[in-house]
Amino acid sequence: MQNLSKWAAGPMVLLLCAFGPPAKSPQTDIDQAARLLRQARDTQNPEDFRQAGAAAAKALAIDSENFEAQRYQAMAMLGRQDLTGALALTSKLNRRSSDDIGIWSMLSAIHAAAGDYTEAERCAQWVLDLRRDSPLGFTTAARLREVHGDYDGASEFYSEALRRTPQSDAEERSWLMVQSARMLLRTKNRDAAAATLQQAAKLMPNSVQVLEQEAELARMNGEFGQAAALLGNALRASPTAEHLYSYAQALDRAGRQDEARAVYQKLGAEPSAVGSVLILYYADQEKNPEKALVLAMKQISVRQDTATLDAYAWALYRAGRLTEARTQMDKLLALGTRDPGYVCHAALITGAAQTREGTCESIQ
Amino acid sequence: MQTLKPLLCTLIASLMAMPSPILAASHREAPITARDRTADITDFFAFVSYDDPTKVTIILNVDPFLEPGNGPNYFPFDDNILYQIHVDNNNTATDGVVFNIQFTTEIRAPGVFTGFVGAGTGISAPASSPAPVAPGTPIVPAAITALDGAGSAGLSLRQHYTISMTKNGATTQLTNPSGLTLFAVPSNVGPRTMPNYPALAAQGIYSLGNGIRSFAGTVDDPFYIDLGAAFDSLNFRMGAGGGVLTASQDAADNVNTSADYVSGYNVNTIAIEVPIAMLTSTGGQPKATDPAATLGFWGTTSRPRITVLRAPLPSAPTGSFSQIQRMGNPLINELIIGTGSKDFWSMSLPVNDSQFASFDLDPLLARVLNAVYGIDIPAPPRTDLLPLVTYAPPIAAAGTPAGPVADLLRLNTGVPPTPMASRKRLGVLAGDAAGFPNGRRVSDDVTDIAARAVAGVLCGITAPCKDSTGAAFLGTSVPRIGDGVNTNDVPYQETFPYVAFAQSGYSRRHIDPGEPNCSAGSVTACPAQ
Repeated sequence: MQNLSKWAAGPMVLLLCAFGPPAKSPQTDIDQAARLLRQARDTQNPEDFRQAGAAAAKALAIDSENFEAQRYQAMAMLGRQDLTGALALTSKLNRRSSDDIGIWSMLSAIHAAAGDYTEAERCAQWVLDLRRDSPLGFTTAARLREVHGDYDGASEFYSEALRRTPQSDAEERSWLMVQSARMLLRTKNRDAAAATLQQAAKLMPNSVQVLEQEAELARMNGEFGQAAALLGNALRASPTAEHLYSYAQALDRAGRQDEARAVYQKLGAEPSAVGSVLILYYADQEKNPEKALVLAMKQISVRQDTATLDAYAWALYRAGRLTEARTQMDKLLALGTRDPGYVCHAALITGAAQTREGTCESIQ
Repeated sequence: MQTLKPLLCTLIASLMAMPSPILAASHREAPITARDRTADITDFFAFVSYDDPTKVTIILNVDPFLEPGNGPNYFPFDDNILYQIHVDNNNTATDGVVFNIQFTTEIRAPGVFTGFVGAGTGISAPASSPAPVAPGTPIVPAAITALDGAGSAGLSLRQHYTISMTKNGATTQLTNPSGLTLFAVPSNVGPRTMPNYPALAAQGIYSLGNGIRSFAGTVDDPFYIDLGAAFDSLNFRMGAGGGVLTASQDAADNVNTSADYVSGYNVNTIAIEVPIAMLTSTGGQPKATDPAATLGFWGTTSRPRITVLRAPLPSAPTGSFSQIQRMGNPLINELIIGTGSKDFWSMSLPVNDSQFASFDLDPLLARVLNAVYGIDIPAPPRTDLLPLVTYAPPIAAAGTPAGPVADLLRLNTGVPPTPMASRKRLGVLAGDAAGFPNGRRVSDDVTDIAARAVAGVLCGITAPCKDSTGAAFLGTSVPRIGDGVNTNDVPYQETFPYVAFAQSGYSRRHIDPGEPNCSAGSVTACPAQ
């Protein structure tokens, strides 16, 4: 009869051969990908996502099955709007480690981007269920609460996440504070938002997201010049299409139309410009509804999140296709959204409201 | 206006949230319950009552490794957990009958520093007592001899529970016909505080009408295993055959040749005894040859759920629970499911277990036994293991619908209980048809049975198997794999609730390697190596 103990050294040798690290460590590239993705969270700069993807790819060239490298590669894919690739890779990782809440959270984000909010909610619920006290569960769910118009509920969850985040993690705490401030601004609680943003800025003085929300606060306070200055800083820190658009809008509001026009024109030439920002630019600024609609149709074939639904409906409206515009807007409103921009577009599309310029600028 | 940025932000937040899996034993086997011990199901049993073949006893054990002397609070059940026992009676792996148990804690003497206190007829302040406590003032109450009323004054921390049965969509509260509150039995603190613990514990057995009985409280943990050897990369002790028992060691059902690492520890138990006719789809007690005789059982623990969306949004039900853990067959999550999926498995419904079929029907443990020890194993798919995860002979009668792949403890209620003298720790493998995997009794040696089953011992019994060359693989070729722990450290009871009452906090003993009295009542020392 075999004696099992005499073989005891065997299994671990075999297991280590199967699961041990490769000769060269991919850790440097993995760390680089993680750093760039963190940076991308603040800047939203597509270039950061591209570089993060490249770093992950380098790591995978060393260790093709490295879980963390694959995770970051999937994140970079999502950041670059490659939903199909991101979903395939993330689903594979989910099968490999079903307990990983980071993967479930990413699945939720991918499904939300694709407009499948039911599936996004199911995945988010797994994050909450698997790790009841994880900040990630609260932030994943908060985003969906926001989509469904529950700003108080989202704010509650961001607070819960903040409460569970170590004091030592200034970057994370600052980000959570910015999200809380964003919700406070949505509910017109400007004083609390200002105080929260002040705390966030203390932790991360150069945060682009802090600048954005400070600008939003200034806009709500009627300080349009200040808002433009802040968004100008955000643009310099992160030269993206979104920041160009926000800056141009702010200049317009501040009465600096010539400067605004010049910035808008840069947007048309911006190679990284994609998505809803560009659609709205052509629909409202360039008065080119046909081009806006072409872009919108291309975008809606890739993703159907709230921003895209809104931009598509708006492009249809601008192109005079009212029935289709209302159908798309109904899909968006059915989610329960209270986003003022969407609500305004909806009002204009349904004829429930009219504005002097025919845009939402004057009533935002 | 919203953009995609918050979603991206959320997912990047996941950089912060990497789970840290914890490999553990039968008890604390999933990372989530390693951190949430009161929700941790340690073992689950279902068997035809030894002394009444018309009834089934189901036992859900939670909260592992309770050190009997660990005061002052000892080990109350968790008021925030919904404990449930599920019964599938139509081969669908879904709820046919569910028993729901919830506890409430009361602190009866908030100023007292310990949960349980008492001695003799009580101790009063002596003549030397400083003011303001006057001599003769009661200080220590009388020893605890009752769960309520006279003799219960020392139970400062006391728990009672409710139990309901959900069947055909209707939920019925199960109550004692005499109107007695159902009290949980406390830990066995010691002889001074609880001078007649067995009598005290027996008061926790309640008749709930219609032939149902219940018991909840701290008891001796009935599980036994050489945990240290098993999880030291299968470093079984040479004194116990090095992982393969000798014929005499294997045959000695009441003799341990290794230390029982669960010896001297308590566990919290919920036991219910229910007439079989109340559980079957026919409403009767089918014969063993009747497909309706085989029922599937599993236990769960759940906590109130934090929902993504809030009411009144339609997808945000109020009062919902999130399942923390489940258990049907023993050792499935411990030995079969990959560490990266243990929590997800714990929190999933059995009816969805086909997503884990690759774990079940090509178990990695078998491949480890094959790779490490050179033991021949059957080639996948391991259809010989199907009776553990579907309704199939020899447990279920021929013609029973297999149902979906699901981890349920399947019990053919038509098989009568085996008398104590004939009972075998290896259950069905030793010809004892009333033992695991036909249900599970408290005395069944599921560690040895499961290891042998994974290695292929059921081949030729449950299904024909082939080896890697395509030749027939027979279960008889599987060696007598075993950890050397064949029995519990204390005797079980032969009547409901069948587990032994709690070990004493005053005199408990954990039996370690190299110590004498490896088996209760023997002088043999446990091998250290």
